Amino acid sequence: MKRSRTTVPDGSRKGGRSILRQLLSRGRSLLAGCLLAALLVQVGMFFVGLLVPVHRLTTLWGKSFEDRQLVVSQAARVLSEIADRFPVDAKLYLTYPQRQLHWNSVYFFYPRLVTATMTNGEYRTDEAYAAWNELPTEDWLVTNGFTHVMSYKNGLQYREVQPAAHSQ
Amino acid sequence: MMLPNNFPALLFAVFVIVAAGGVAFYVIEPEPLHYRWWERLAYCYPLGMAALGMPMFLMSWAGHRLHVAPIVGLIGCSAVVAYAIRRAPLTPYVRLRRNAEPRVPLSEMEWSLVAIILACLIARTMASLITPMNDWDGICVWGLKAKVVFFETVRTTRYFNRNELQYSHPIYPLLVPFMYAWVATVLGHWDDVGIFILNPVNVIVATALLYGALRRQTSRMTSLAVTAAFASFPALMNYAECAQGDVPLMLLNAASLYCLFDWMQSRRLPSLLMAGFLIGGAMFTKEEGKIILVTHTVVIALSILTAAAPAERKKLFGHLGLYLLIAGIWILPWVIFQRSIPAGEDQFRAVTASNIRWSELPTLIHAIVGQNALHFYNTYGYPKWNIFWLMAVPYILFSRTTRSYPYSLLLLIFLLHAAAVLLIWLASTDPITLDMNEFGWERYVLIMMPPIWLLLGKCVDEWWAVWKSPRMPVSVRTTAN
Repeated sequence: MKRSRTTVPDGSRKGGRSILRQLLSRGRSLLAGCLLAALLVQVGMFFVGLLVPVHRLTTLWGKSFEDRQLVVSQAARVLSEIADRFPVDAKLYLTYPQRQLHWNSVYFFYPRLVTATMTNGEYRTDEAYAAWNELPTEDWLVTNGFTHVMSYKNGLQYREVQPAAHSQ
Repeated sequence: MMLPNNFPALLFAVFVIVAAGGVAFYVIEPEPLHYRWWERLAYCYPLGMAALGMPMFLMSWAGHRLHVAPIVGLIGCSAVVAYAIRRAPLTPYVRLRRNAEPRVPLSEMEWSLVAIILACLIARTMASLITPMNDWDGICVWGLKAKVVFFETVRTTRYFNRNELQYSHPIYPLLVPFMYAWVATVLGHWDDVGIFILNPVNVIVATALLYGALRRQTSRMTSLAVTAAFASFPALMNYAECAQGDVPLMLLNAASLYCLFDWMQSRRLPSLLMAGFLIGGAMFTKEEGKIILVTHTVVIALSILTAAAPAERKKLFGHLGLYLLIAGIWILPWVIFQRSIPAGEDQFRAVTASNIRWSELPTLIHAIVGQNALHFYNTYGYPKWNIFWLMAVPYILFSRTTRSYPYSLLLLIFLLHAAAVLLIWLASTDPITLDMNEFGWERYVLIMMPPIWLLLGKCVDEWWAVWKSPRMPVSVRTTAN
């Protein structure tokens, strides 16, 4: 009959418990190797993260602010350009607002006031924008101090509010 | 071309934040040599954000726009008062070396890791300095708020009452906007690129603090390896680019956690006071800061109950009381103001038993695991974690470290934080699907990760020791009798 025995260098013999201990030790050693290798792979993939800013650098390096803005966000460039045409204290009423353009306009026109509501309405969802129906009269615009009306319906058109029309 | 013309002014803006943090550090920490010199410098930045955010808010709430002179004057006066009261010598606070620490040269592997860390941080810094505002959160939330507090004041603006602007979450805290507005104030005008000087600083400081915290627990090689994994994280690189609140919150959370972890081991009161001050800043950064406060408080209490001698518990609960007091005082003005802001429609509701949709839990967990562990790219095409979770989970599961104090409490912090975010989503009105809000989950997880980094570092050290330990006899012979 064959029986497993372990012989260690000093010549002593140990039973099954010792073998189990050695196997566990080998298993731990193997697991350690796998875990450390996994860390090495994760660290070795550093270039994936590094490429995020490197990509930005290669696309924006050497360009003017306007060109960089155009690269990262076309809407940002267009809205910034239009905003610069208005005095900083302009008050604009936005008609036929579209969600993203409206929200972007609020930022890029600031400190100029941009609003799309006469009733302090809440516009967050596409449904709310689809149901938009707040066309102001010239009287209302003048009374509330608005200087311009801007529409996104047919391109980015705008006009000045006419106080004369109000007084007539 | 590429360095901005106003670079000195940008550096001055950052310097003022660090100086404010330096005063806070001097007031709170009587043993500066507990930290290495660069750790002291790194802690000054988040401390400075926390220290400046609330006075700026109070100033704006009182109807005053931000100006350079009052802010610098306030810091100067605070420094004089702090010195007059404490009378502690300044030399130890600015000393470069703690003791005669022996310098051991870096190995080739360590140099490689240092090179990875530096490459990522330098690339991030350069890219941040030339990238204009472009992301949704920046334009619609944090950037807009920053413009509001730069051009107007909290008292005079109609921003908080315009329902039309509910999309920008007027009830969100204002620390990040005030920091951007501060940079613009130093520049003297709004600058869609210049304000982003703070973004790489957030990442650099977070990296330095992580390395410092790891170095207290683990070998230099391990600390560098885990720090390199952190610094090259695609998700971090991504969200550090523009005006997002997540990386600043991650930084404040991490800084606070590292101090808290130090207290768990040393029971030094200054460490916990610093953690309290930083968590006050975290609560003024994003609403999620409140979740972090709750998780940290639970863990502090558990640390006292499970690991402290009974005779010590009363004193340590006193520490906890002071921690909560400092955090509470620092966030109180904002909480009072926040209650006056009209609440708009929001998908997030109160987390009550009736609101929580338990039946959606399996879908939500499936979505989180799938999106975080298995997808390399999010829906916008950005790379995320590489193999991080596939690597980290076995480390956490198989390491003895995970089951030992205080590392088990680190895991608990992560789990409590994750559970709280889960509950908030389960109580929300958003439909829960397998591909829901991936963009958001990624950022949430980034904020949750500081305890995982610390735990991972210790686990790696444990397995490194196993790997290096002398092998058992190789010749296992089978003998026949």
